[in-house]
Amino acid sequence: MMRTIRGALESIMAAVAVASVFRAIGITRIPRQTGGWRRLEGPDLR
Amino acid sequence: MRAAVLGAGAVGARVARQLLSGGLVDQVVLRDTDADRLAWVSRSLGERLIIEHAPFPASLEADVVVVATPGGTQLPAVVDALAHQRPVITTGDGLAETVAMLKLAPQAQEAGVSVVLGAGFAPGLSCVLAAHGAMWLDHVEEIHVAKAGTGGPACALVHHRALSRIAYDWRQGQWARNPGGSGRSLCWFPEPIGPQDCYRAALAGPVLLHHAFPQAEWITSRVSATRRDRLTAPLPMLAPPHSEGGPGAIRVELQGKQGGAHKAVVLGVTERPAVAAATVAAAAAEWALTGRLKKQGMAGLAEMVEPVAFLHDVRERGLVIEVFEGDHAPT
Repeated sequence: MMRTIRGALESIMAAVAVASVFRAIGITRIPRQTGGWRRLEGPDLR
Repeated sequence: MRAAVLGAGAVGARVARQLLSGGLVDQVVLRDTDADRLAWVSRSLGERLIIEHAPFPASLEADVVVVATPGGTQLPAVVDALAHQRPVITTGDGLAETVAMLKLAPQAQEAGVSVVLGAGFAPGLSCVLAAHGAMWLDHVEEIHVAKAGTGGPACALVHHRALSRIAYDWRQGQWARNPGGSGRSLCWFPEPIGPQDCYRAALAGPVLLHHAFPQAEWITSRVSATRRDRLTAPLPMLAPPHSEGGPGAIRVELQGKQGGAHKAVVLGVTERPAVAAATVAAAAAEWALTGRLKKQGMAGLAEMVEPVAFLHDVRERGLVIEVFEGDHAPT
């Protein structure tokens, strides 16, 4: 029982460590936005 | 002219303020069950505001009724207004209540009055943005609406419940049932909201949009939520909802064809949801008073107003409408 719990905890810690490394080197699951927002002006509102 | 506003919460109080400051309405009757809240609102709105608290007088003299009461209490107000043949503007976004109201559409048509459903931030302004974006396309195939943030406590409660109930998306000619809180999608809102994880929720947006755009093949509506929101959604709200949330945003994406080529249009607005909802509801009420609503009967704002003129109107009232420009609009 204790070995199972310990194994589960080690797996979680390993996953957190890997995720932290990816985040530290700038790889996240949020993609870059390839554009931007601008105000809707007069010509757009005709 | 005289307007009645039912509910003196974060939205209702602002609707009353906007109507009184607009110059078109002479008097506003504000009804709420909370006498303290009414007293607090009336202190800042002057003598042209008439407050009524429970038990309410039997008669309600008004040229238009704005229903800004909590979700689940708006249907009786619409029934009463229809019986008295008064135009009604509702601000609710609950799915079941909106469907129940739409069943009264034949009565509204017969009575010859206009009933605008879901005239808030989303649905409401989101429907008008969809109608405006559709003008840039020859054929609309998909409409995807996302909303971040909540208005007052009643709005927060509706969103909390919506994440644990069955959500309806329109897809390929039928309603697709999916659990609320499913279907994670990363949606980019205008700044400062930015990217947010959004999920399906049992909200009225797709129902009203399908009513307005029956030709669209895919219509979805999502709300932003955290892991904690999704985890606790099936439970009663563990903490009392905030009196009013912070900044929020809506994002409306349309996919379709223009000149035979595929095109995407993405429009958005960032504002505190209760402020935006009140602005839209007040504008809709003034349109009802001046006879500018496009038709009699019951429908969402997309069918009731001319989108360009309405967007000009809410822009003059302070809302900033934005369009996304890029090679590819990320979802």
